[in-house]
Amino acid sequence: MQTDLMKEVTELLSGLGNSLLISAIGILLGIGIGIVLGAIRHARIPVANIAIVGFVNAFRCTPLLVQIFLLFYALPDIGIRLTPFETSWLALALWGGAYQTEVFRAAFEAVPKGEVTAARALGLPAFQTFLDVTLPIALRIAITGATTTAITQFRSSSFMIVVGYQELTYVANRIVSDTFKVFETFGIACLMYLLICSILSAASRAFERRLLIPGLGVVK
Amino acid sequence: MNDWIWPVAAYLGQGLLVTLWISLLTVLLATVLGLLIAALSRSTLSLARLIGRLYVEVFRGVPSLMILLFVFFALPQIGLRTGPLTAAIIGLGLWGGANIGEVFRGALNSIPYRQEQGARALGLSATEALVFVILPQAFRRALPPYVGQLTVLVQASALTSVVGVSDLLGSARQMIERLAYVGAGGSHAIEIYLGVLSIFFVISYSLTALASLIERRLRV
Repeated sequence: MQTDLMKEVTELLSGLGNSLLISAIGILLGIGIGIVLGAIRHARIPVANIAIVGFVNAFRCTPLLVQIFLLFYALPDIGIRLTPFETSWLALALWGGAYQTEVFRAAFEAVPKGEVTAARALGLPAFQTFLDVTLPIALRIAITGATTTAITQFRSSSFMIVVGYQELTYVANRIVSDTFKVFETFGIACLMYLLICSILSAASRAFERRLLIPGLGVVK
Repeated sequence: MNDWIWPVAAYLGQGLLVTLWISLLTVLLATVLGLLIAALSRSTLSLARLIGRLYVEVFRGVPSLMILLFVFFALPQIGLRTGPLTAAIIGLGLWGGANIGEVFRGALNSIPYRQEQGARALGLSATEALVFVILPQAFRRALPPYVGQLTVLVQASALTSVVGVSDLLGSARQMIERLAYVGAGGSHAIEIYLGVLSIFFVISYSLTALASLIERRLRV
């Protein structure tokens, strides 16, 4: 009995490892997409702007689950075959990227105008002003919002059960189907999700405090 | 030549009705739970506040799909034989209740304390102050994010297909399998999934537009 539970916890932990792996890739790519597309939106580049608004709306206004189905079950019809692993991180990255674009666009808009004007008055070229003044401040402003999206991406990694990727929810579901130990298995899996979410939000708060610029009212 | 389209569209139409029905019931359940949680957070009993807090933390830290599967497998174990549809609605409702509870709580807490003080100083009782001063203002604050949560719940309804409900996504999957089986010129997975995405997009985008319209109209 005791060893049974240990065996299940070990399996769940390996599922958690896979969840963390696809989430990490998805979150990092999502932040990358968000910074680049958010900056382009902030710079108001004519055609790119409309394309990005389209991308953001398309991914935010449709369920992630349907996007996953399209990527995994429909793309093979036009010759693009993705493995469950590739589908998992790609779906999380695209979906998270759409949300992060809005987070970083808002952060860029929230940078105090005076800072930018001062840098330009001191003779910094526009692009250098962006790199050395706007970006460092905007990234700090974006920490809270970007963490919220990242945590949602981590929780949504459970959707990858539908492509058969062996993440935490998939493993928990398989154990329950085999053993009918619903409460123990799902209970432990839920605790694992809760633990990771708390660690992520605590880390983000610590990060925000560490990076605080004295005198700049970035952190409430 | 495209004689597969009409039967599929009719079947998806039935799926859409199921999706809308699930969304409606989930929203009702989540709203009632949300009001209860907001009320708990305003309670004078610290135990009641703790229970409300704990509920929100647990249900927002665990993936919606995990909660859905948990309810789906746990209900039969405690002797409640329900179909997947009921289990899915309960699961999504429990999850949505935590999110909507946060919206209501946030709106209530955003009303400055001096509003209550002012009302009491003018001779209103505590209940009168709540009903005539706090709630009308909190309602305006809560409405836009509440409509935003409706979008989240409509999108989450797609998860019910994982436990075998024939909602919009579920019926799309069934149709794709049928078409591949009868060999009507391929599986048509791309067209069907894009169709499903478009329907969700129209619903979500209208709700999002409605939320920002309400936000502009209700500004105090």
